[in-house]
Amino acid sequence: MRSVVITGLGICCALGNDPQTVVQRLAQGHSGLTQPTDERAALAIAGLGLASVDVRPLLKRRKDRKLLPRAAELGIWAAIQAMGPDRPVNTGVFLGVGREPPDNGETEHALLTSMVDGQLNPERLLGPGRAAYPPLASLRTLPNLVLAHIAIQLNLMGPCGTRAGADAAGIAAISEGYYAVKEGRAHTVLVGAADSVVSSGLARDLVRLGQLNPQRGAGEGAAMLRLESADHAAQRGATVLGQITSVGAAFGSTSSQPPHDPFLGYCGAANAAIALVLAIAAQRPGTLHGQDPSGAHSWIQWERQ
Amino acid sequence: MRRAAVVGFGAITPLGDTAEATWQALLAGQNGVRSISRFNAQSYPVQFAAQVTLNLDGTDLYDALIDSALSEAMEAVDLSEVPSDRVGVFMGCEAARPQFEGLARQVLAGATPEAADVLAHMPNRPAIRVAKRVAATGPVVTLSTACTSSGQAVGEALLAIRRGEVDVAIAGGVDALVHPLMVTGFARLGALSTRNDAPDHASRPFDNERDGFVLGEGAGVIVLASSRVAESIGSILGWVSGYGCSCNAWRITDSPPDGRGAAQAMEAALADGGFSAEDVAYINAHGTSTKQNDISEARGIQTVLGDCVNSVPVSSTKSMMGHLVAACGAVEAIVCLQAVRDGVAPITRNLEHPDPECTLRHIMGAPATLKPGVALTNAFGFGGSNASLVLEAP
Repeated sequence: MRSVVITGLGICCALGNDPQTVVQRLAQGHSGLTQPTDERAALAIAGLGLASVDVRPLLKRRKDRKLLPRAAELGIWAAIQAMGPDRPVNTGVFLGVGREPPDNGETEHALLTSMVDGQLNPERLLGPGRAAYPPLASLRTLPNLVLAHIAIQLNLMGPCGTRAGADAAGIAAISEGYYAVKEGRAHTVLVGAADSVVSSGLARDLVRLGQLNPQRGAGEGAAMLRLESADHAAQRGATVLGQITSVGAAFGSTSSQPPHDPFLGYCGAANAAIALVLAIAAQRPGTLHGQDPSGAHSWIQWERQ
Repeated sequence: MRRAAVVGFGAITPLGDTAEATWQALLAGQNGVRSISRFNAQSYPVQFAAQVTLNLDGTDLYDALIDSALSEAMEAVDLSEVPSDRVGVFMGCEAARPQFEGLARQVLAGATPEAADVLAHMPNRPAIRVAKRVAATGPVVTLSTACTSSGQAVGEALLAIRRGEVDVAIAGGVDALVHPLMVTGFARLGALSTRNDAPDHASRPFDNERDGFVLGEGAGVIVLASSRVAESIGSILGWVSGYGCSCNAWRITDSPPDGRGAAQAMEAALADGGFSAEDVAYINAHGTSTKQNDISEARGIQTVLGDCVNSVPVSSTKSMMGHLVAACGAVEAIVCLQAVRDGVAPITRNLEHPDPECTLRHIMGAPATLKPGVALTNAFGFGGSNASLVLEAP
């Protein structure tokens, strides 16, 4: 079994678009939350933690812009940062995404505007008109769309997987990538999570479930790590930021973790991955947990090299 | 230990409410594609699908499907002596998008959505349901890679058993997209067959006259166990022996014409199990009946099989049960377990004039007798995720 080391970090969230900036701003007590001024204010959300990135100019194909959910924008940004300039062959990618599809907007709109007397009206759904369901809308709801964009942009053709859930999904995806390297299925993987829970519909749902505490704010973000075998990292002379020593998962157990929610807003599946990337950037080794309200629980332990 | 024992499996498909009923229907070449009865589809561009026959009696369709497959899979499995933290759940599921309709209805009525309605469309709901039903406290994982989802779930379950993370893994998937929204969405993408005048001829993978896939619904569950505990909890029905996955890194909606991602997944699965092309007795193709997928997959198979391409029988059971989307990988893995168990593989129904760009040893007309060996099953998804599994007889 190989040792698995961390050789790259990437992040974007309400407090910045690189790990050092976010660590610095958190240490200074900055908050990235802004007050909602639209219908989200009615949910009594304390603030919105909006990231500021635009990856559209970076996309390989202009056509891909038509199918780019917000979580994919965030994920691409963090992935490019974590990966660095080289593109080794057979690089894998494992990603955690939220409990909701990455982009429900058009689906919600079509459903809401196509209902007549509580039933879906085919004439409205099929259009023409504002209620019509656009051809690409069903694809925008696919949870693996975020991973697909990252793989296309960085030409990642190795083993892959999307874990769907809440906080646990990000750590579970990182764990799966760790195993892929440790067991020799890939020598390099990009792992992490991306999520955006700032849309009014999603924020409403998560408040209803008790998953989003409105007093802490709703946020969005992505955090990615580059993992590789210690041998591969040494061969290419990479700077090693840390080593993953163990991972685990269980169902029905509990954990506690100091959240960054008051500063970034609750970032769904990206929450725990963001916490891990910030801990590595700040060189604070230890164990990070991701816990879903459903009971799924994943953890990861890392130490300095 | 490279492989995991299969000690139980269950499925509910448009061809039958059990895995065995489905298998017999497949061998008989039966058709599961009919006019849509779940809603009035007369105004829709596609008016047929492959639906399950199920008395819901007020139960949610997704719950009913997964419960049915799980009950069959667990029928002869005894987990009473296995510590709960040594049991994991690996489910391949998408967001249950049809469930958004109920949510929309509440929003329009000005009502606060019920928590149950919010939870109804969460992709991790089936995994949680299965975990609670079997009292598992090991890893509970939801894999969501579109049509690849449950194939990956079975693969990840194999890896978890192999590394000793769990002793028993309940793996599978569920999907049910026969809904006005999904029929509209996939039809507008141009992905669905529009053969409304002849639904039973609509799903025709690798045929020159194919015009798209047929939406299906169903669920499949496989109970995997380490060889250490397998015989103490049930009988060994077969083995999951290899798993490979890859990304196309090509385009969101298209497969690469050279089939490179598909080939990479198949090669990885065979290598993972320690097999070569000579060991392959049967391939259950992803075979969706779309122009691009079938060509890409056929080229991938040609690459992997090399000189063996003319001797390995290939079929797509989607020709009879439609495309079960997130559930197809697990259900088709079960079909492969049955094929290597019985030494026979079902046909590709409606395959009359094979596309010259999809030259393979297709099983047409009558089931094929198989030589001893392993079966390979493929699952490829929108977004470019690919998964292949290797299955062995007991």
